[in-house]
Amino acid sequence: MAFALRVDGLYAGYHGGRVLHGVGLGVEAGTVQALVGRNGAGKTTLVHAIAGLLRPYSGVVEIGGTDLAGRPAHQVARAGVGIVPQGRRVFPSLTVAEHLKLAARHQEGPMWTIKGVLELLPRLGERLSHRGDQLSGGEQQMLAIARALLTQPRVLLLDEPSEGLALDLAARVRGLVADLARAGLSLLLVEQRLDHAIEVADRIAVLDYGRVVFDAPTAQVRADPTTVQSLLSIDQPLPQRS
Amino acid sequence: MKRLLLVPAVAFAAALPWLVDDYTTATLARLLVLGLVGVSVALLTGVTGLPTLGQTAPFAAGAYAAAQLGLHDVANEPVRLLAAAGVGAAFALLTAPLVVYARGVIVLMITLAIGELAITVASRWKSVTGGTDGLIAAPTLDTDRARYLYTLAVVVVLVALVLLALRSPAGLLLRASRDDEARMRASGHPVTAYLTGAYAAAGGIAGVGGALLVTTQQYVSPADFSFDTAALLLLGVVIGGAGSMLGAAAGTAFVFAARDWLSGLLPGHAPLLLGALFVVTAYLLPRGVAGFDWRRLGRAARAASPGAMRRRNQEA
Repeated sequence: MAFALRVDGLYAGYHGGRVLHGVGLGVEAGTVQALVGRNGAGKTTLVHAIAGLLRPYSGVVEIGGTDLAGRPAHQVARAGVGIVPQGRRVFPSLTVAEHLKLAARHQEGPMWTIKGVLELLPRLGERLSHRGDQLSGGEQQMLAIARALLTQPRVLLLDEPSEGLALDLAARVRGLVADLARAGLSLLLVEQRLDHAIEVADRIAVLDYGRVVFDAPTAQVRADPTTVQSLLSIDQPLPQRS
Repeated sequence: MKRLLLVPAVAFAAALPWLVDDYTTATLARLLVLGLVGVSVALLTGVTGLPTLGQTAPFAAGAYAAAQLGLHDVANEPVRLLAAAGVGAAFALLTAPLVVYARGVIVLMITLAIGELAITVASRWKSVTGGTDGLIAAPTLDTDRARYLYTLAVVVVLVALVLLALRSPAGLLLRASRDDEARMRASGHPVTAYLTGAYAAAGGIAGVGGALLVTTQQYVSPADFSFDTAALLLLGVVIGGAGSMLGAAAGTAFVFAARDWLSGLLPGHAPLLLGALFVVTAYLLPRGVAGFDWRRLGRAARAASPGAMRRRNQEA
């Protein structure tokens, strides 16, 4: 089993306090690993610690066999970790074209080109001259994904990509996640909604109080979701697959 | 359209020495210098997001470097300019680690301290700076008109270069770093290196300003780089528009001109009036005069005109 991303014994937090307590998690190459958890479980902290935006206290963050824990974010990004952050965070004063140009900078031998990304996300091609703050929520999410792809990631971290989106747009984002996995990208998908995770992920892990308390193939969760549901304190049954 | 207006504006500025007396010409040359230093403040405050009260430090470093070269019989102005730019940039590189890791008000406090320390050193290092007595530099250009035209030429070229740089990918990187630094880092960009480069470039520009100050007034002393100067530079940039290099240069020149004019007209009241102007600008034009959408004002005026109101009434 080859891991594109492997996290082991990761401790991290803010101002000396611990949020993550020895997290261990792996993303197999070319698969979607979902990470679900309640508010405050430490999901975004884990994403930031992996991406180098937060310096972990200790532990291993291995990308393609190289430990990058504690490295600055720009080095982690150049080593092949892309991130689509929670809340999109597009640059408000930059146009779509400038976003793409900026993201495509410094990357050699690109797997993803601006042309290729615009073919995948044609809506962005129609909005090239629009500033980030002039885009709808869905367009901003597409732009955030395009921007991450242009950094030529081997592993893409998606932090609640469907948060705040209308149902149809959220479904489109999940479809895009599935397309990216089919294209060979390894993805860590952070989700609050278990049904969304089940739809696209190959494996599902649950983070609770800074620890991975469950990690299993999606098929197993689909067959018996009660364990994960109880960990997430979900009372409702999962929607039936159509 | 704005760019087309710049050509007659520069032509008018070049014709000014033939329209005003020598004293006014010398004053205008000094305002050009301060406008250039204002550009360096705007580059940091508006473009890179590092608000500064410390650009008087590389300004002083460049001025003393140029003055020392003058004292050592280096009369070649371009050589003095390059040396002052180098010293200003080197000073900025030296102090960059203190500045580029901080953000917001902390940057203001650190740069204020750097500016004040530079003044203290300038006042006490008599062998190099002449202490509070200052240094007298022999004139390299004979007339006020020549000094003004030389200063204008340097300022125009340098501001044009800054504008070109801001339109290049370098400007894009700085704007994006200001908008969302963490995002830039996560996209593989070494933001600290970019900020250090911008800080050094701004130091170089301020250093050139220092050399031009020596050329225009043939004298330099710590009083030229006081806290008042630092505060008025930032005030001028905020009023003119920190996001616009031309707005910042014009705003800075305006503030210093207003101070000098008001101090003659209403002795002792100039700071109060400038403070009031700042408050009004901050409320009404938070992005400065250059950042205001004047077209929107034009549209609002047209919408409120009697003709437009008549048309609306007829339609209703």
